[in-house]
Amino acid sequence: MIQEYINQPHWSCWPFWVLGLTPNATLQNIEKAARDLTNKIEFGFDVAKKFETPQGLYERDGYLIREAKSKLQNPEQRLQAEFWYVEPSQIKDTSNTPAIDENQWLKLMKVS
Amino acid sequence: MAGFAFVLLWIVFGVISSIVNRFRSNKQFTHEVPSALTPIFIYWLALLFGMAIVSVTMDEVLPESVIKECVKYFILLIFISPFLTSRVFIALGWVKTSFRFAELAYVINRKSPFAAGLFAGYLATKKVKNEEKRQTQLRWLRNQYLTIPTKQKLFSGEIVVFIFLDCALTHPGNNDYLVKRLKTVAHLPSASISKPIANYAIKRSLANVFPSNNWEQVIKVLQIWGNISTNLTNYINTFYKKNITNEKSSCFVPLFIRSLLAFRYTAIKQWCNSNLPLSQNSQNTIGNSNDAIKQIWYTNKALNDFSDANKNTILTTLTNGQQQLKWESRAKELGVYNQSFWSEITKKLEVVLKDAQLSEEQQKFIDDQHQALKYIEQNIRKKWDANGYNNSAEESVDWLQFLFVFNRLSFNKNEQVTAFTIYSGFLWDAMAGFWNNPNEYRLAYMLAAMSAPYAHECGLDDFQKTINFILSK
Repeated sequence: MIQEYINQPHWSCWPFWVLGLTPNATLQNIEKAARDLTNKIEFGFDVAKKFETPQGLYERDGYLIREAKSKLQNPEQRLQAEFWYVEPSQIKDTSNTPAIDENQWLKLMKVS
Repeated sequence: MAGFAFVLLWIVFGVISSIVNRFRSNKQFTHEVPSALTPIFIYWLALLFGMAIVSVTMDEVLPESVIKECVKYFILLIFISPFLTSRVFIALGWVKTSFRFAELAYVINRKSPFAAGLFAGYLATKKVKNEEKRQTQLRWLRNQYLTIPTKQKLFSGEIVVFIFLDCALTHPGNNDYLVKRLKTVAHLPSASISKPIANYAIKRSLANVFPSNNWEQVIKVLQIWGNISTNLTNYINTFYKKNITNEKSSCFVPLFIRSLLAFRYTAIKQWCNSNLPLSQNSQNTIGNSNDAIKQIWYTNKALNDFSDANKNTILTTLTNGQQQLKWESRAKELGVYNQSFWSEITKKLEVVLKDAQLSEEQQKFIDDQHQALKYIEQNIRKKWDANGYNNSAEESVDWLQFLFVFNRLSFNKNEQVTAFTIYSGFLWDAMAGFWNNPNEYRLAYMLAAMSAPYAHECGLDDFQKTINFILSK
């Protein structure tokens, strides 16, 4: 389970993020996504070890994938996940500003 | 001859403005402009005397020549404007010299010459390459503040520059810490904070909030230093009013002109333009359930609490009759026969909309801050008891520390209100003590302005009356 979910119910849709699915996914899609990801991780594909959340990239392993699959296969828990579902990329900053950190801002304003 | 006539005119101007400012200062303490007549007189007399000696010596040594006249006017030019001279010494990294000259630049720095001196010294330390020497110079400047004579008034500008110095000594290169410290002086009367000092503080604070791409935080920074008007703050304010709050009527100068005037800040203009869509997202534009969920995420990411209006909109959008029907129908499709699912959703929603829950780490942090407040209180009370605690500079350092620790609790409103309830009596005592000493009005004002919202929230009516009395003066 994702740690943040314990205190923050709006993380309830985490199983969808772990499996890279949306609320439209069927039971077959869930099975397939879980299987594919587990295989990829076993074969050492680094890309498969990370998934996107609104708080950035998180790590996933076989255990987390099995847990996510089982949550989405449970109708009640899936309903909760669907209710709270949000596309991670929608929460990310949509700003086009190039990432300038604090020190660079200080230099730009000539106060460093 | 023309040069000496100019100097005399300058002296007359300096004297008249000093008298006018002293008169104003006595009438209204918040319009705080200190009097620095003595050093100004000494400076100009020394200048006149020095010029006379130079002139006589040169007449004897050198024959009548253009070079001699040029040298005379060059020296006159340097010393006629101590401000410009201090800028030269800042560039050279001469800390003490720039401190002295900036202090004498009364015409430019009349809001607080001592603060201007400290600030010039602080800027000069940045040019000192030897780290050990730099630390020594910073300590020297810090001591200048700490040894302000007891009888001398303490001004807001001096307190702000003290924070720059203290941070440069204790947390060099840590802008985040400096900005947090600056927040503790948000309630100081700002009339005696000169423009260069405020501008520097604004730039430091903006550099801290720009990476978060959050308009609200940027506007908060400008509100803290509200009465300071520079090309940069004017541009940001006008942009915000025109494009985000649509207060077109209040923009006297068009954004185009503001943009031209702020020509040096291209990166900031880019920031404003590219953060327009994000700011619009984070406004109260909750149209459907997806927007409501997004709003929850935005608020959580910005570490803000939900406003009451926002809470109501989110609750209505996510739990209205239509939504309930939609999810009941989806529950049937999925085969959920337990009808309590809807009450579970609403319960979770309430949990989410409540103020942030505390982790163990945060709880420990809160305990540490309460402990620190307790120690600071004991320390201040001990000094009170010893009857030796009437140095406003020394007192300001203790109170800045108290406010800094108090502000660290701001991430949890309940804890901050609890802390205020515990220390309200202590604050009241201090405020009354400061109010009775004309040299410490600023500290009384700072504590009163800081306490006002909490006293109101805690229902401390009598305390509120005292605060209102101080703030109304």
